[in-house]
Amino acid sequence: MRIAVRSVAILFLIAAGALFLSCNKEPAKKKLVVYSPHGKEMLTEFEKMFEASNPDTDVQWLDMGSQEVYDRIRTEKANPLADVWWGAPATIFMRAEKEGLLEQYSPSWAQNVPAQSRSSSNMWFGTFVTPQVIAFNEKTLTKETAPKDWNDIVSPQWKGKIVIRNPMASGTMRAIFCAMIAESVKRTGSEAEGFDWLRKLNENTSAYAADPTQMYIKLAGNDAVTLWNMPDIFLQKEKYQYPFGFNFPSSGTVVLTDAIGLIKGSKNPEAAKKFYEFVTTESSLILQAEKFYRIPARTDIPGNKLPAWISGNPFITLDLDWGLIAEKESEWMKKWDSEIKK
Amino acid sequence: MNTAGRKVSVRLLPVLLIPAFFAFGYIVYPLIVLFIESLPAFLYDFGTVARNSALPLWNSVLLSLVTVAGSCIIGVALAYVVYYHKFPLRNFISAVLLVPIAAPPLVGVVSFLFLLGENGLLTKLVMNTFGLSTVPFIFDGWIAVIAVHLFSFYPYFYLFSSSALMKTDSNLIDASYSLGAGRTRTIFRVILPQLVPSVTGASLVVFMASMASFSAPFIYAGSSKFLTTEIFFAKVNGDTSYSAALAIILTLISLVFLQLLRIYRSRYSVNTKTKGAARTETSLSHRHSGILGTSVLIAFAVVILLPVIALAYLSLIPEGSLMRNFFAEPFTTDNYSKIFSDPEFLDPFTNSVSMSIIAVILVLIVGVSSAWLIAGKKLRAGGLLESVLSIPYGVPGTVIAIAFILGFSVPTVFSFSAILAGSFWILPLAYAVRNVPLMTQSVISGLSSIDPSLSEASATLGAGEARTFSKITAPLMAPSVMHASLLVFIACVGEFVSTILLYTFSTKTISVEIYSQLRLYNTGAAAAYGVILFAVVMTVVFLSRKTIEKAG
Repeated sequence: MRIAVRSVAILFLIAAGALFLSCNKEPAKKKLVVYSPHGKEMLTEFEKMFEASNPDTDVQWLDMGSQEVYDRIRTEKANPLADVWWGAPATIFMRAEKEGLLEQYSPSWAQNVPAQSRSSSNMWFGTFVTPQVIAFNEKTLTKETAPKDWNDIVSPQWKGKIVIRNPMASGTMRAIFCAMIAESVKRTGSEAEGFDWLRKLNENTSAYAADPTQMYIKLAGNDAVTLWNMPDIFLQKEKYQYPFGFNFPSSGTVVLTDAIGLIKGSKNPEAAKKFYEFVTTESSLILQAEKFYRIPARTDIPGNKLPAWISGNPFITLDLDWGLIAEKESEWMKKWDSEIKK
Repeated sequence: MNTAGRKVSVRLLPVLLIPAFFAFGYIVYPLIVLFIESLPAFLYDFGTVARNSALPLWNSVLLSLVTVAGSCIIGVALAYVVYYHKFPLRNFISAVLLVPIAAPPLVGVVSFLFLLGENGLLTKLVMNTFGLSTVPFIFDGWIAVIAVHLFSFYPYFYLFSSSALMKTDSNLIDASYSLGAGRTRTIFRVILPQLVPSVTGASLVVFMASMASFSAPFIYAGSSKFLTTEIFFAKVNGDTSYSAALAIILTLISLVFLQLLRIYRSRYSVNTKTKGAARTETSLSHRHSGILGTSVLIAFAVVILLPVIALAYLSLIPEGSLMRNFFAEPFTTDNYSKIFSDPEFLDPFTNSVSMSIIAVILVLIVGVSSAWLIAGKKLRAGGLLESVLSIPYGVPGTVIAIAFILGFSVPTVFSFSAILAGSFWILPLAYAVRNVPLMTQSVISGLSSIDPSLSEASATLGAGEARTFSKITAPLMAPSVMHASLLVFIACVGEFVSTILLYTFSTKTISVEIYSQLRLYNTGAAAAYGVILFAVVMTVVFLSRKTIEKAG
């Protein structure tokens, strides 16, 4: 019994000590909370750079998938915990704008972003453009033998070879899926053909990967093919020498706009605006392009300042009704989940 | 003692207040908020909810039944073999058999991936040995989920039936033999029936845990639908009401099963009363397991250790070599030095450990006080309190987290007018809610096994309520309380499913760190964090076993 009492007392002491420690290190600085899917390395780098020039601010970031960021901000609506939302496909920002989750702010470079890459009411602005590609395992496939266009992927030849990142939780995959439906609406006036394409894709799909890492691992399998964004495929190839190759769909590809916005009810709006500007300056965008393979959405950055991999990989952009996609995304994805997915 | 139940006497009121406040504020209130959230989906879109939940519901129940049956066979068989046989390395092997309990769910799932995935250690080894150019097997889908579940859940059956075997009176077994029954007949007619109560208890725990299991179906069964993953996807898709409706369905189904098992357990209780002290040494325990039996056991122990070995191996090879032939890669400690060179690397550890300790303390206070009222004082409202406190058994971690965010984004009486969402405290509170049934149940069973005549004797000899509790009751129930605290601590320190929804920058835990490393393809760093978490848990298990042994 005495030992039991003593160990409980020790537990209390440790807990008190830990609490003291965690309270003690709480700085007197202003806290700026950033939600972002851009990854630990890029976030750490910009956190340090921003803190160096703004020593009174402590940047704290949470690194999550873009769909998870949106879900979190919505759940926290009654008590917003974050200040800046850095990164998510524009469609997600459009939904967030409609749900009143964002705060207006027009950055100094607002006029250098094309109208389709920004919110008309200044709720969010595009930072990067991200072309989607057909990626494949270079060990067993070449640019010639791999699928070249959207319709190739759904041909029976690729049955059991397609790996898809689980689309429900992935902003990238949701956008690709919905783009196919929006394209069908534009061409035929109905969603039917788009869903038909998705049904055929589902038949060819061997696995839905839980996160990008799982997808990369499966992509290393024989003849494996996936749909994913070009910068990530590039990054994996350059950084870890993964055997990935890619084709831009020949009829044109889905190009996502990745955006930034301020969160409504932010506790530190001034620092939030500063951070917003800081990560979108010309030099920041060039650094992001060189080191993290992001293509700037701003059109005023001279091409010769950007790395060669951008100009060396030209692509055709599909003209899509992103407003329709933002409006219908949730409904379409629910339909896909309940009617198409096995 | 009056078994009909006592009214709440004024003296018990202060003690009752603590568990009642906890039960209402942190279990009932968040669930009510969740229910209100689900109403639109139920009222306006019932057809969709019913249609879309049928398949995931069936899959979840089927998965749980298969898990219970499979882990029951493995766990009971192992317990029997280990308890009644002699074999080399007995202590080591019986310790290894419990390793999965100490492996947090996320770490378990990740280790299997590193072992059997397309680029897993074993997969590569098989390919290299036989010169294969294609993957010989794909570890995916139902088979993978079931394998991970069996690995994680058989130890509960092993643990529960081992302790039942220790209490089995060997006179019964000897009597069976001397009456001419053979070995098989004795096993099936005498030994196994003795295990029924503990097996039912373990089934309950495992069934609930596997209904609520998220990580394994999420990672391995992307093509199949389970309730927990559907709740997550619905939530992520922006259908808060629909996901709340699914969560309510999952909770109700789990509670129905919980109730069925409870009824079954109360009907079926074995009378093991024998005169005098039970003798536990038996002629059976001198039996040698034989070469075949021993090799099967050792092989099984190796299988249990394999995922851990894969995890350790992956943490020691360079980042990114997962896709290359990593047997050719040099060993390196880069992954560890990278973690330790991060100036904030200690934060996740301090967070995980301190939040788990706070959760244990909360659970101790609530669990012990309510168990004392329910089993010790036979309070009339005890049944209600016990039922409410066992609700979290049937509520998956994701659902608890969603209910907490919805319920505590506004100031409430229960949070003393503070907004808990986004604060440090919401995490240990959620952990406490998830684990309070475990503590309450073990203290209740600990208390029920105490002979009431002891405390009556103490009262007769003039000791007051407090003195009787501190001198008689508390020491007798200390071992079961300590064991339960240990299990709660282990569950909290690697908790993932609620944490991922509740954490903020300053409350990152080790499991969140593992998850974000995985998301960023840093498999080496993820493996290294996994190894460190595993080491933390094993150290705590080892230290507390020493303490419990001393106390016992």
